[in-house]
Amino acid sequence: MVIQIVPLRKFLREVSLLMTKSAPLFVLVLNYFLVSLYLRNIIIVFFCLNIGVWGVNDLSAQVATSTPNHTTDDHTQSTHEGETHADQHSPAAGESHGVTANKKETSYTDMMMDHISNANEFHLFGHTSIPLPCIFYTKDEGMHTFMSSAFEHGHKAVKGFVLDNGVARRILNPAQRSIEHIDYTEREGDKIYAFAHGEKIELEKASTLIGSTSWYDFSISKNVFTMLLSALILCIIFLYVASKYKKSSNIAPNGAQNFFEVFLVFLRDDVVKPSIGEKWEKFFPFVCSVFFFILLNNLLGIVPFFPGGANVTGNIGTTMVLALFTFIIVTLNGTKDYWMHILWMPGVPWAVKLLLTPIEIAGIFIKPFTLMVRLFANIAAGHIIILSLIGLIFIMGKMEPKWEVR
Amino acid sequence: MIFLTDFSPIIPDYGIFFWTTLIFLFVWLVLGKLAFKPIAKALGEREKTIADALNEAESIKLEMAKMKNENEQLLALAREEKASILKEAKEMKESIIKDAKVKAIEEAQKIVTTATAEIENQKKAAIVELKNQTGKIAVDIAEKLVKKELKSNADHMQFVQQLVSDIKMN
Repeated sequence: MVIQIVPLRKFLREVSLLMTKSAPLFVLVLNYFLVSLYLRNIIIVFFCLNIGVWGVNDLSAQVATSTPNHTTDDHTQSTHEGETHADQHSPAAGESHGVTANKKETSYTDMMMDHISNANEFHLFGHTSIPLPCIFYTKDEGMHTFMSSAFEHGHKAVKGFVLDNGVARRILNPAQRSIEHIDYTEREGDKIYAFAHGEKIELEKASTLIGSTSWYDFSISKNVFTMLLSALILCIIFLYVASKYKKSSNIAPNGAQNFFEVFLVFLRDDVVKPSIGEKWEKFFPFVCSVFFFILLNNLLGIVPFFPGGANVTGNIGTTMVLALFTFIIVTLNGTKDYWMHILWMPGVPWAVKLLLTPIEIAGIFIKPFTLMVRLFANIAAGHIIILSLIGLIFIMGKMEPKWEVR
Repeated sequence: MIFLTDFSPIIPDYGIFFWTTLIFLFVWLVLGKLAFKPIAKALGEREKTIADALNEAESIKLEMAKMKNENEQLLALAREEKASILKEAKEMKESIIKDAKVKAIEEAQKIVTTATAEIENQKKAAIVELKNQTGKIAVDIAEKLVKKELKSNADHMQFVQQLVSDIKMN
């Protein structure tokens, strides 16, 4: 870690010096270099520190307590996994329910899944979380709004809602919704149960676009909070930069304006102009918004402590919205050439045209779909890989030592 | 696959969908209108200004070269003119001097001639006067002489007159 940090500081100083002198292309290359190479190292270092400082106790506690008869104190990760989960990670486990050998692994899986999932509270460390507002719309009872601190990390049921691993779920049976105290929640197969005074209460699935639920979750969740934060940061940055441009458009840029001008000019000259052409100015704001929105959310996502840490662009709902916007804009602004190339490709024999047309029509939808999946999968996978590597440290640590490190 | 269906990031949910739409629309509309559009405009304007300035400098440079050329031509022309003017002036000076000389000589000659004529006239008048005076004196003398000797008569007078007229001055 020390070896990483010392040249990094030097490097950053050099970069900042160069930035002030600003040879834009060179800075761009350096930026790319910085982001791709050094940032990754910083992230890993930060993650190690983060997990190292706060995570060790948590994780070892999880591993130690991940038996079916766990105590209720550890609200965070200690859920029992069904055989389906276990099968995912060790096919040899077979059908037997609750094989203890698989418990450790499934506990790490949970840890990973909880890290990359959305949540109704912002987990800081240990048992400390920042409460977020919950806005639930139920089909039968209307709106419920309260802070997620009312759940007391899953030990309380509020208005028929229970917090499972930071995610709010509704009690399925209306008769049981009056319950207030919850001991713990547990997964069995694809179902989640809450236990209160020995009573087993089935919880409804999270509200998703797939399948119907009796309620919808419109909370300011962890992801939404991060998005709001990044929107705020973007507004502050770019309104400031824009004000500088308005004030003195013909003076050489400096400071933040200079820094972002590199990105903006790169976007304009190397992305928007070559791919859109003459009417680039109409779409430049959209491309910039998408670019900086995704960039900032990605960057916030790799910061392991409070304002960051949310897996925003690694959530398919977010990327779906962005892809939908792109799809709508492309479809509405498609020129004659665009549609001709889809419906009746010019300069191609008619037999090939018959083949090409259905492919191209499918392509209208496939292109935004891949936009959605690529961003989501890359970011989610990136988070999983980092978490896997870190999880590996603790799995190795739990193994019987063949040799001692002094 | 049940594992994946429980994997919440892969299933879009209403909350994320709703809020992302809202937040992204906000970012797009607000920043697009207040930041990215003006920035693109300002960048374009700046680039245009720079390009214009460069073009202008180039054209000014050309103009300067042209003007320099013109100036040189003008200078050469002026030099030529100066030379010609000087030459002309010299010629004029010479001619004026010459003319003046001629005129002066003429004038002098004229003066000399008139003076000579005048002198001649004066001389003649003086001679006539002198003749007359001399005659008169002579007559007077003669009269007196004659009065003394003879009584004046016409024949004598005529003779004297004749004598007077016969007297020629030089």
